[in-house]
Amino acid sequence: MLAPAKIWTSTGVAAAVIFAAIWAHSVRAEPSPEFHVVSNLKLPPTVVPNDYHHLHISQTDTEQFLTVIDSKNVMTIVDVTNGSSPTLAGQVQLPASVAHGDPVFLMGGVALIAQPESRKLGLQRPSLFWT
Amino acid sequence: MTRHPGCNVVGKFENVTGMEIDSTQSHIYLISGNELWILGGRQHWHASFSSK
Repeated sequence: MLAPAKIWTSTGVAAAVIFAAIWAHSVRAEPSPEFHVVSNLKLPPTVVPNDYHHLHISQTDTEQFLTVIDSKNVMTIVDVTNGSSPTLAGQVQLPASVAHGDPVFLMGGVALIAQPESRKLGLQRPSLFWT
Repeated sequence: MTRHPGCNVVGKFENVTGMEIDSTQSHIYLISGNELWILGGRQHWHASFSSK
């Protein structure tokens, strides 16, 4: 059986080891990330307030676009290739056959609307020219 | 969020209807009302959350 002094000593050593480990971990921890606003762009107002949704990123090796769609099925396209200077690339009225939230891909000035397998009816979805 | 180590809430965006992170994880894109906001990190960081 351990003497009380030995118990206190071993408890103290264990506590010291734990505190040292915590301190070492905090010192080694990477600095917390900081975020800042790179840029912002006012988009054309929607008929219904705060109606932009289904934000989607499309990118190629050299270009990057964002698309958002409103409840009137208007797709707004923003060129964010230069993140510090986003520019409004255009707006297109999507056909009624394009369901809300369908994935959009922009390739060479052509917007391609992907159609989920579950909704395919044997028809190819048309491409939408927006430039 | 302020309970998480290293987190410090210094502001907020309202009426956010969409948020995406690019494939390089270098920018966050936010739609707040009728405005697009692009956020970036001062240091190299890896986003570890989902916008869904």
